[in-house]
Amino acid sequence: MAASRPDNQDAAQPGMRLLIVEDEHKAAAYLSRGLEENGFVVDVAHRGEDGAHLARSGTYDAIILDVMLPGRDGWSIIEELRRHEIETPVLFLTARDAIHDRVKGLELGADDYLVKPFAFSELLARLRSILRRGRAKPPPSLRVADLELDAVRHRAMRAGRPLELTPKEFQLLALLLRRTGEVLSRTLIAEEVWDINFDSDSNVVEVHMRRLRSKVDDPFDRKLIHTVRGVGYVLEERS
Amino acid sequence: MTNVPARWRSGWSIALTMTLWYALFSFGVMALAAGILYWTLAQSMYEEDVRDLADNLNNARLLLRSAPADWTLHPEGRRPAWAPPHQPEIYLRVLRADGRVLTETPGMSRELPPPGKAELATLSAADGARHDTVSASGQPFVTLIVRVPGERAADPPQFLQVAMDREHDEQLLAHYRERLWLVFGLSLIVCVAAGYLIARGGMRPIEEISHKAARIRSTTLDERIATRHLPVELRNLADTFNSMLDRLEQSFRHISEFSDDVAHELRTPINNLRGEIEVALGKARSGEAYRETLGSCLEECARISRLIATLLFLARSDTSTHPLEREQIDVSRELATVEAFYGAAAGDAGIAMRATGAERLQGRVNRTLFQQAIGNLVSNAISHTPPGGSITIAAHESGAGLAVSVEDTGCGIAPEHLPRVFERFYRVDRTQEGSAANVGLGLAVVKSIASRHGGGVEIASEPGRGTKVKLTFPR
Repeated sequence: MAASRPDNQDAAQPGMRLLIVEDEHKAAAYLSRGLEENGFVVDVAHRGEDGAHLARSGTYDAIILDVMLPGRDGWSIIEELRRHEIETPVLFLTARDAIHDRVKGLELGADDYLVKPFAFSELLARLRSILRRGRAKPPPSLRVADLELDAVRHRAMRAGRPLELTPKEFQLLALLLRRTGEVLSRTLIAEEVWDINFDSDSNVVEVHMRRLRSKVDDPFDRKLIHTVRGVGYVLEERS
Repeated sequence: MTNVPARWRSGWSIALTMTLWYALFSFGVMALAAGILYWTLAQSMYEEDVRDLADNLNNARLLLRSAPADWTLHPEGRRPAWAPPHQPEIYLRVLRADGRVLTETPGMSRELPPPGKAELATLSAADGARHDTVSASGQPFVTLIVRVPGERAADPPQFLQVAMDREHDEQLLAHYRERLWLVFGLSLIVCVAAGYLIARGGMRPIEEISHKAARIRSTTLDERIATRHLPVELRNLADTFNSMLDRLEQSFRHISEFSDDVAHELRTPINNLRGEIEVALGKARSGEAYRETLGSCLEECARISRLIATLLFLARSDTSTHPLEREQIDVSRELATVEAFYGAAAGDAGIAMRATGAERLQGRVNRTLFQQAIGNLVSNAISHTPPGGSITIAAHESGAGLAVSVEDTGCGIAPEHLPRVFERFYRVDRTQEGSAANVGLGLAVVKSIASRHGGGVEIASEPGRGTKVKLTFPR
């Protein structure tokens, strides 16, 4: 599916419904705007009680739940949903990243969590990963414009010419291609390609990206890998 | 159960307890001494009386032998010739073996009834018998009685009894006892008062220490307790107290410097944000210009987030009681991962990097933190090593556990900085301040990670030759 994406709107199937339960209006507003722009249909609840009601009655593909809510906290909402066997995926947001908080959320049946402050791109990536769960794996061959990647034979071609990539460069390109149109943060790239799990606070990923570009983009007029300043990198065909 | 002595446990005042013990002890000693003296006095008075009585008895015996007839004819009421002239308290009586009184000092039978026949029969020839009795009117008496054989063998034996009224002695002793009680009472008061004063005097330095300590505030942490005039026992306590104050003052200074640094580090990116946004909003711009500004702002936000995350990590590591989540890792593989990740950056900087580690070296660590510690060290090494240099990551199993070292051929660190490089916000080169990447927390995080694993970190450096940092993770 990813190889034939027309644009970044199809990361989620059109019209996937999301519920955001977040008491801070500003945060709820930018989240819903960002998610709508990425092709989701979004409902917002500012109070825990309303959120629980909507979550139980509505049919959502995923719920984004703030843990600290006035009146009724997020934990009890997850509990209630799971008790009624509503298995909607839940991504919870927390301002406290103490280990027992995370463990508690995951034990209660949440699917993933994010600690504030978080990058929107990170939220999007995790949300998509939750929604993708249980679906068919992407096809082994990926293609964007004249760039083609054969995951089975570990070969990359651009404009019919083979690209000489190191194994890590190949993995990096494969990641970008698989998530075409998604802006990937440096942290996520380090995690997926190098299995480096901490926020490395350095331009190390930039160096790798520069090397990849020198092979994939530099010899060609049409650039496919783009830097989104302050966020990360995206591979897509731009006119 | 604590091992505090039982009598302190109830929170008694030391001064009060000491006073009580002191008073009790000195009073006891005094009472014992006075008691012995009293007993000696009473005893010697009694012995004196007995001697006196014996003299009288001997005199009477001699008289009785020389003129036995006088005795029997002695009429009632007349003072006999042998009677001691100035001793009205002496009584005398002569009896026959059958208990009949031949003669006696007038009034004696009223006070002391004569002994019976049976009692007289038990008396042997030579010794007399001594008795302490109380007379009919309640006076204390001491009596002596002897058997006086007749002049001729055929004469029946006679018995001579002398008695002494000890009333006078008893009065003397009673008077003495009264005085003694008075002295006891007074000395008890004096003992308590003196004990209290002594105890208080001994306690005064403790009170001074306590007063001094109570006056010390966060603003006067540089004050210390003067130890010169203190007694030896308390000097130790005061020294301990002072060294605690030293440590407190130092921690306090660190905390205050730390808050300063945090505020400063936050101020810089926020100032950038604010300025950029203000300027951007100052006039209408192209979409591209706005995008540029927003991107830059986002970078500043990321910087703030990272700073907060790092500070939180450090703060939690200091106080964390949660056990670390550990897993079994293949150390050489982890080092290879770090090498692969940082290799490109090192290569761009013209630095050769290699990781060596024994095959199948295992470690039980928190994988993410392990990566971060090594990553921070490598990142530091890259930024301090000139082109043409090299970085070596090595790991081996040592006696203490797993040891990992990162060694570079960089500019090195001057000896005066070495002890402080693991402190938060400590930067060897203060001119690097403001560069977003180097906040001066990297090594603090490394140290914290090592401590969380129960291990440690060592640094050795030679300016101009390079630096080696060694981490140990105990098994």
